[in-house]
Amino acid sequence: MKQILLLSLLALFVGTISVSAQKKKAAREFRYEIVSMGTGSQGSALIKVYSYAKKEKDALELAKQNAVHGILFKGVAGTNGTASQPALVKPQEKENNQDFFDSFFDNGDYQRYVSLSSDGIVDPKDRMKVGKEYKIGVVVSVNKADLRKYLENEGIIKGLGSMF
Amino acid sequence: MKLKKIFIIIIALMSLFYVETFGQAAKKPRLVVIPSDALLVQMNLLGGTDDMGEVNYVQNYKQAFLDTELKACIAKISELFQDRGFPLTMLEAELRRVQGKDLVIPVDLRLELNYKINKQGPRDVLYFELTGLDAYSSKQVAGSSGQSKPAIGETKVNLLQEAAIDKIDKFANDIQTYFEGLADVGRESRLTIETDGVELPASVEDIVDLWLQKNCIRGSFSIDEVDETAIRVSQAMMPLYNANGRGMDARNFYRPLVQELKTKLTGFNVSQKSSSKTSQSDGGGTLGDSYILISQ
Repeated sequence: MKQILLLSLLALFVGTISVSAQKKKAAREFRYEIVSMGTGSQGSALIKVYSYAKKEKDALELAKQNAVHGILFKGVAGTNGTASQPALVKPQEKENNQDFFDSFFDNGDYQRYVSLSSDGIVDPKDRMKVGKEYKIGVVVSVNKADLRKYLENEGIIKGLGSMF
Repeated sequence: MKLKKIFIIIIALMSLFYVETFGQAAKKPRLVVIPSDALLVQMNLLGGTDDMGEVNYVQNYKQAFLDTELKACIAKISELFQDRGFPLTMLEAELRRVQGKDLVIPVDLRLELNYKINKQGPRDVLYFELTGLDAYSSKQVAGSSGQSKPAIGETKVNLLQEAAIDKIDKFANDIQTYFEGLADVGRESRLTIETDGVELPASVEDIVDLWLQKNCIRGSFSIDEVDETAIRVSQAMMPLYNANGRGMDARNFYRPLVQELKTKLTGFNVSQKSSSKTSQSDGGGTLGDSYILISQ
């Protein structure tokens, strides 16, 4: 009887950990909009990211991860005077390396490739209250060249001359 | 004795591993940035000769490379490709290499560059265009173009280099997609079979047709022209690697066909050259172009 009770408690404990881990994983959501802000310096992308959060401060922090996520998987549409920027990672490459990208964002590795422009000062036009949330637009610079080289070295994406 | 056998097996396995691992590199195409004819017209460097009423254009590339803006733009494009691990072949250096020699410059992928600065009142607006053309299929495989934002007081060099930085991601992505496509559908090649004036033996067309059906990827090719002295084939899809996993060009690919023609055409000499005179004058290289001469 005692053994059954112990086993039940153990099963409950393992289940709780598993659910908690899943919740943690599910908590990282990427909800944002990206627009090009012109041609950045060589190897970098200058973009404005609109992120959603309940607190304004959180939206600023989310901007960095959303910017890197956008450069990696979405790409940036061209605007008047700038060309479109295709995503660095193809859908198949993303699918094949989902664990790599999960830890890339969970460990904060993405922060090495992104910086807030203008010290994160938000233009009043880019601060909006949408329902119970804030929608905040911040200009960030993503070091695409270094990010691309990192992914190539890790074998996640192929380099231009990789098959020759 | 047993030790010797083990040693031989280890060496054999190592050789196999070497071919599997290192033999998988496809032949590298030569990418060259070339000023387009439209750009040369703006620079007054496109001459013309009258050939029975038809104008043949003559490009003065050497003079074009004395233009600082053009050089700066090509240097930036080259730098951006080098940064991506794919150095370009520099046309200016190649022109110097072949100067005074009876040589042609092989090009597999032409990166044609065109730009023009237009005035909008006091402001400059740059139109920039970079097009990637496969030398063997004449198909566009990459492209990026567009106008810059109007600028006041910017130097032409700055505008051009900024445009190159802006357009390179889309362009390099197109090139990458094209390269990856080669692995699936093969590289497009051209084949010219000509005689030295004698009539082409009737069986040649059938031999070539059957050989191409058997050896091209998905049996895909087009026989463009057959006459008494020549057969011209295009869009013949050849694999990137041979059966041993080694990189292959058109010369390697069509070698077995040459052997077959040699065996079946008694009384004729069959020889293979890398590329025909026509393709050389078109700037075609040897990667996807082959020429077979049949003589008596």
